[in-house]
Amino acid sequence: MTFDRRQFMARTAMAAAAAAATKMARGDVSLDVLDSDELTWDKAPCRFCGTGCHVMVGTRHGRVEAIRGDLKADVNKGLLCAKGYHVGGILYGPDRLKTPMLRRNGHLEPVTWDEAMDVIADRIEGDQAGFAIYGSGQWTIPEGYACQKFIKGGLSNNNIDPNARLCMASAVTGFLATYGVDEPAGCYDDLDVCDVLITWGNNPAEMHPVLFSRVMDRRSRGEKVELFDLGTRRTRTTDFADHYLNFTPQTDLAIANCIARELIARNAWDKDFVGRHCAFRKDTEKPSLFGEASSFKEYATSLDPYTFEYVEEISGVPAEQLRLLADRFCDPSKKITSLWCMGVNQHTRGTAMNTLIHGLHLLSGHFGTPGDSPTSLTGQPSACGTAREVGTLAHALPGGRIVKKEAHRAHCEDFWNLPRGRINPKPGTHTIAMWDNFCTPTDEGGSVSTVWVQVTNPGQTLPNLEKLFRGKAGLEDKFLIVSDCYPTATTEMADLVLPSAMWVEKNGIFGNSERRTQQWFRQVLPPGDARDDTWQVIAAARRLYDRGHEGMRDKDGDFIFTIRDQQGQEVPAWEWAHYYDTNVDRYLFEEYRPFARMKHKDLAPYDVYVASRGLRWPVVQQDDGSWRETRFRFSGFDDPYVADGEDIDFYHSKTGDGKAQIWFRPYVPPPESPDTDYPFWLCTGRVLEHWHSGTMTGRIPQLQESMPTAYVELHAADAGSLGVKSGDRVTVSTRRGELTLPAWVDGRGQPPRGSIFVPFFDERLLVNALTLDAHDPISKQPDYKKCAANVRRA
Amino acid sequence: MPTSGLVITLAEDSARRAPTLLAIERLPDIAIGQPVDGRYLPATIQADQPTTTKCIQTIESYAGVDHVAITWIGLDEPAPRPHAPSTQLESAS
Repeated sequence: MTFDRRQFMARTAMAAAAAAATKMARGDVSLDVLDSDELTWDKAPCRFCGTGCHVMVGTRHGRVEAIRGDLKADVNKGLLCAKGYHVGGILYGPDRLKTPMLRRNGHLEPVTWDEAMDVIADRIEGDQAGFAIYGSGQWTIPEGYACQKFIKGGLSNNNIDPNARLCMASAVTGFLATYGVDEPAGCYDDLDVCDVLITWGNNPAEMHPVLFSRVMDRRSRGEKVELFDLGTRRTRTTDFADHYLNFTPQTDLAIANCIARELIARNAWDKDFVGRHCAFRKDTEKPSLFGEASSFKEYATSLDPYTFEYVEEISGVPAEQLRLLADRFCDPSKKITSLWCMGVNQHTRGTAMNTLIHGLHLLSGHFGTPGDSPTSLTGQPSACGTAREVGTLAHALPGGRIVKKEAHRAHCEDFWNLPRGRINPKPGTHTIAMWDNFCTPTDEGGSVSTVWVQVTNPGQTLPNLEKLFRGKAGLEDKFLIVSDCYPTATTEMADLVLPSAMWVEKNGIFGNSERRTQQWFRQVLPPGDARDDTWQVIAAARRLYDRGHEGMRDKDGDFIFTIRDQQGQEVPAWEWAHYYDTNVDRYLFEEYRPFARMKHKDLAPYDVYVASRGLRWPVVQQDDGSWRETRFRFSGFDDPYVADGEDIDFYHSKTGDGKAQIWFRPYVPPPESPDTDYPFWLCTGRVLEHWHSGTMTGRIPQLQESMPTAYVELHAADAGSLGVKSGDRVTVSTRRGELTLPAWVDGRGQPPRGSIFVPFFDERLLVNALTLDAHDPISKQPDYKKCAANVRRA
Repeated sequence: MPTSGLVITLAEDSARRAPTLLAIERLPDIAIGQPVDGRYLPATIQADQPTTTKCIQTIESYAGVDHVAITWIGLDEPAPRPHAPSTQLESAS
């Protein structure tokens, strides 16, 4: 039977509308009324992307039975995307992992949790320095915090990194290099008032559909929002764009420089804003996060080569279109919001391109008022809240601290009541280094001997998989521990598999793309013997403590994860039977909360989030005792940390003068470009129906049937030259591997001639066996968006 | 082609609802569900964006309509493609 996508969308839309109609008829969103359905409803952020939509979860008889958009949620105002409406289904795939399993004689065999904890403790005691944790932006805040404390405060080892390194590390370095502090100044409210929306290598129509719908909703009501889509292939976003600027991969830097040059050439840059709030910066010879000081004159001179003619030549974007984009930046009456995500971040010049987008907004003065904002989006639900704010990175500590600085270590040790010197000053291995090291024989310098993976699937998502993941095969002294909910490409290689609770099977807190911290409660029990990831870490720590491991003791000799209930009584949280005797999330969150204040990212008490649909930090207490969120950071009219009387104040400025940095960053050719042997550009990415590696969405029949397999998008002319039509099997090869998959000509996305696109959601067709592991020298984020490939009929 | 899910709130005056319902039903590209409490009408529109906008504006202009809420927007491809790999693989299996 052929699945009719149009019917699928229509049915889903009608179901959502009918649910909303019922709710309206009942007088809006009263939970009491909805209880009469015999379903118990409670809030939760959606499990998928970084948008942070809230869903209402309807449970009955211990199962999630219904999902609806949450009308009380500012983010999505009751709207959900196709994935969001099906999010409840992620819990009920037929192959949920339900028991710990240890590989013996090549086979995974069931073991008890007790045995599993002994195995982990043995691995740590055998080689503590070689132990690593690899997590993600899907860790809840308490989960990430517990891992941070365990490895940095307990094992004195900084080998922890999240897959966020593959996702938004360049956004982090872009924010740090520009403002001295991470994360966006604006928020989603900008989308409700901007006149111009620019998507830089970004496809929100598929990847952040609810946010995109906020803009489309305005258009549906007759408002004018002009959309510029800059991309290397036409996407669903392009279908709605007023202007599509198709550029040759990597030349986005040249385009940004061209616009900046034009702002200066027309004398249209905002001299007052720049004079009061900005300084100029340039690269040092060796790439570094903060480079060195420059001047306006030097900046302007550096931009000289980026004429319309030159940039048209290298980018392929007609000068006329570049002029049009420049016109908008030169017009102070327009409100301009920029969005970007993986297209800019997964880039060997990712940090540079991030800083250039910020620089355009600063130079033109399109910054700091509602609608005027450069905003990077995240792909994971807590990339910001956990990876960035808790700082689960190899060099970082919570609260924007870094391990290299003695004062920061000391501060953290004091917070955790650890003896001085417990935290190791040497940064651990970042993602690429961690996996490279893990897949290198020990006698050849591969010092990472054990990796514990939680909430991610590196066996599918790392670049250059043969080298960085499958290289582990045959290395007998290497050991892979994987906590997950389903079998994946990663568990295939695992030596110990731990079944995890997921989403509303546990308490949780996420932090979304707009600085919004969101809490939810456990609503159903996990299946079989699956358990919370936080519990797994605490239990492993306790096993070490019981064996006398000094690192698991604070300076008073107490267990580093001593958890107390609200009456102050210690709870043996390492015993699963007692884990939910108190709210461990609340306890860990309150322990973590003071760290957030160090970078003016203040968080409210846990219970305030219980009563809200998330709040955007800094959240500060008012005179009347209430807690107020901040929508527009650094803006005097909204941000409580802006000095009195200032309209804008970059109070974490690296130069210490309240100024943001406008960078000059040159266009540099990519590390690999098409040539005679590999004449195509290969770009990889995501699709609407699946979320990242498809571990969850692949278990939802409606989504899986709707998009059952990966494919390669081809331009019609290239397909014609190859004698290929849609559905024919073609082989895509790069210098790292090859893959055979069906072609899609003139499909949903349309790459230009000489380019192809392959999504990465399909674990049977691992495109990351083909991708390049070249990465940004500052953020260490790899480039999944461009490498050279060949295509032939299979 | 975008799919929009709507809830059309019909007027309180039940006498005005029937002709309005009939008029909405006759609009192209729209499908309507069962009204809840006679007044809250779920509907979907599958059309390109200008047509959708026009359709919503038309509905809003009816005297028997109090409000139109957009509750869902699906961003599907312009049309089902007969040779898309998904359908190819399914028919092959």
